[in-house]
Amino acid sequence: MSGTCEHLKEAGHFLSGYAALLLGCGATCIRIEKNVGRMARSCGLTADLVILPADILLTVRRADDSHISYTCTTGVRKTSISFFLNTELSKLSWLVAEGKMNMREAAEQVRGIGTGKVTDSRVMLFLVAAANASFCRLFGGDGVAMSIVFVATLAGFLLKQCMLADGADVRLTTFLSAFFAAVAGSAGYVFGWGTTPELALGTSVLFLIPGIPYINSMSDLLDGHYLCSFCRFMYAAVQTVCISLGLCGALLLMNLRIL
Amino acid sequence: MTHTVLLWDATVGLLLIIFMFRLIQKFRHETPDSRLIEWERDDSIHYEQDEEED
Amino acid sequence: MMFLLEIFQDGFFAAIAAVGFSAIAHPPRAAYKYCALIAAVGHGIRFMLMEYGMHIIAAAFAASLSVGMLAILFAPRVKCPPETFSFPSLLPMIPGIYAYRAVQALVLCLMQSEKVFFNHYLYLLAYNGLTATIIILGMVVGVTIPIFLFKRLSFSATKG
Repeated sequence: MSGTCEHLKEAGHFLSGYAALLLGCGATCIRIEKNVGRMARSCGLTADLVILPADILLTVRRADDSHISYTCTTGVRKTSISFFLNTELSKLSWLVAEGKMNMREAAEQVRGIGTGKVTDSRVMLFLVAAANASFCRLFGGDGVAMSIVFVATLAGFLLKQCMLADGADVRLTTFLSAFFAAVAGSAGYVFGWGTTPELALGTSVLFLIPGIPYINSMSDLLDGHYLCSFCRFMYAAVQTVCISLGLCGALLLMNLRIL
Repeated sequence: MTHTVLLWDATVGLLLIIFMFRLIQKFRHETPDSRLIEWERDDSIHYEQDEEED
Repeated sequence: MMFLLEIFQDGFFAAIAAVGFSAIAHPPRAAYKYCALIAAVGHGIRFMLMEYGMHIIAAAFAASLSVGMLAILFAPRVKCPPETFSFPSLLPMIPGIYAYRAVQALVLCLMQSEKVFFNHYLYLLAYNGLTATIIILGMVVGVTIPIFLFKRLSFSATKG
């Protein structure tokens, strides 16, 4: 009996910690359920998961005896969205499910993954600036507008990186990044550069739009995880409001009207 | 210079000042005091010349 | 010929946008080229459909369907979940301009006291807000349908 309880306890702690990490790195709820269920089944257990916005509540019980169960709660540690972490954790779930690794070894592996090989911040800065400039082109901007957007995005994203590294509030960071990027992006209007200054201004803040939280939110909605869906949607909506306020602030300062 | 251009210059200038300030802060955090002292007491050829004269 | 060139150009810039925005989400290195390819194809399809007169919502849905299918096709090669490619590939198609125009219209709406201007900004808020929401919903439905249709393939992509 005590062996069973110890096994359940170990499995419960590992699976809830795993689920919390997966949720924190931006995985969809259906993926979390599939991965956890797969690992639990391979050990002869069933796992019931309650996915809350800030916590994971997990109950494990033996598949052949549902009288003994273990429930634990793990808080979600918010990390930045990481598909690398998502991939590594998903691969790990298959290794456990196929019996190539037990849960203790898997727990050690999880501790070692961290956020993995992240893209260098300077490379990311350049890529995001290039991406936003391409975005401007997709909306019909000319070469001058693209250059303005490139520089404005560099400034805005660098500020975002600095403020987040210093632990600033995400909403304040988004607001200030949007404000400064929009002011820099208004160079087309201020100096009369290019033929599409409105596109340069409008696109200069789009790198801040939280695309993946919106998509994750809709994905959770389709799968029936309405609470998580709403939470992710509200997070993304608040970010969008901060971006718009930053843009509005810049428009007011520069005395511009683009509507 | 128009009012708008001045405002633009001031805002972008403020942003550049923030970046410079942060760069200086980062440099000071990464460079320990001992290295700074070593730079001040850097051995130069003058010390070698003094020894030769003796 | 010009039309083909425009599609290629659209796909090219969408690829750059997808790679750049996906970098923020820290994908595995091997995923970048597939993000670029899938985004180029998806955005090109959307561009083509809109040129033929299709509404942006329907075009975005069709494009995201193709993105979802391609993501499931390529996911087992790189041993990644399909959403590693499909979600960043959707990012160039996210209607950011509609979203922030909606919030701008909300702010300007609240600043008006005259009925005419208030109604104008209310109309802009409703139009942009609804368009943005339905485009995003359509895109996510489009990219999720293949994942649900091919569930076994989607959730076993990371199997060794």
